[in-house]
Amino acid sequence: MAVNQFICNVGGANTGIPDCAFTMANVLKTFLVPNSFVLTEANLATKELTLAALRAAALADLSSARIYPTPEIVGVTNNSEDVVTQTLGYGVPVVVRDGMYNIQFQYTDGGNCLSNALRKFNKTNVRVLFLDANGVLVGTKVGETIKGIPLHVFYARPFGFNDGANIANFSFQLTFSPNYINEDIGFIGLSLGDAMGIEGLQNINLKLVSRAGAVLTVQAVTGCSKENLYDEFSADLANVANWLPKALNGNAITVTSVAAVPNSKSFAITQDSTDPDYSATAALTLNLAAPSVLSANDIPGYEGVQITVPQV
Amino acid sequence: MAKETGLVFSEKSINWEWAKKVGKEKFLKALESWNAKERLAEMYDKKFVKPKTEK
Repeated sequence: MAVNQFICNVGGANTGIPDCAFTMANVLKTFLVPNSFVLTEANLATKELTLAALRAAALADLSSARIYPTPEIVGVTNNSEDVVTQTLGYGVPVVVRDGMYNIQFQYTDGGNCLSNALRKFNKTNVRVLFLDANGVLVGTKVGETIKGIPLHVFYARPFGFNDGANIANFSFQLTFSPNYINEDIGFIGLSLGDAMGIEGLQNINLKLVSRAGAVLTVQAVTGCSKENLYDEFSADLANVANWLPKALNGNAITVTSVAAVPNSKSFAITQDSTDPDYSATAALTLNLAAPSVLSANDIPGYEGVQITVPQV
Repeated sequence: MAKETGLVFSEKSINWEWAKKVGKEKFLKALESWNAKERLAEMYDKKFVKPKTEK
């Protein structure tokens, strides 16, 4: 095209309609996704493949590649900006631009703990996928793929007080440009139940009980409810493959054995004292193995939170 | 090392690569605080000691 050449587009499109047409239903769930997340043409070949891709992404070892399902949405407040118009001198209203979508999604599950987790996404460059009440996953179409809808704003609001007439209000706000789910909408029908069942990882916090020589004794508790996971996973956590002590230089320290300790509902992790990175006194870090390793070792849906064991 | 009794462990609780490297004696010595010498010895033998073929 030449400089200063402007080609006028022929506007409009055919308006005949099929027997049924997609209309987005109310949103029941959202997925916060990184910019890089994409459902490829292969992922979209069947609903089962799409669900598998979503499940795998929700459990991804790398947090930067992970998608984060939010809890069930129980209400929506639409604060979207109306179409912006200018009224010209003779009274003709002319559309200047579309308004921005600005929608608040309310949830109840997860309480303050989940609210605080979602607030960690505030001011980050996250995108979103919607799941509507008909099981349709909605994002934005890029070629033959579906990507997350880019957001101008993701804001998990401070919770609203229970005032005796209304429950505590947990919600997050999404603001985005309208083209992404209008002209550029990308959607695929899934099984609603299966899609709603895609859950994010839960944290496992490690609590140091004692350090004696090469033996570190720790408890494993869930991040939100502080439930000791011993009763559920004593046999599975007593597995050397699940534990990663490291020197502060990042070098792994060999674990020789892990035993479950019933009387304190903890785990005794023994380091190899001949390992060159082992020290009986220096500080070290301790974490669980990656989520995929934990899952393979019968502890699905969890991610460890690293602790620093202080020097003796 | 504090003596612990009643510890719960399985085959997965042992780093068998390390156990093979250090040998049975050091392996049992390293885990003597588990007070499960007989069971550990049995696990070690099952893992590494080939049964003698009968004539």
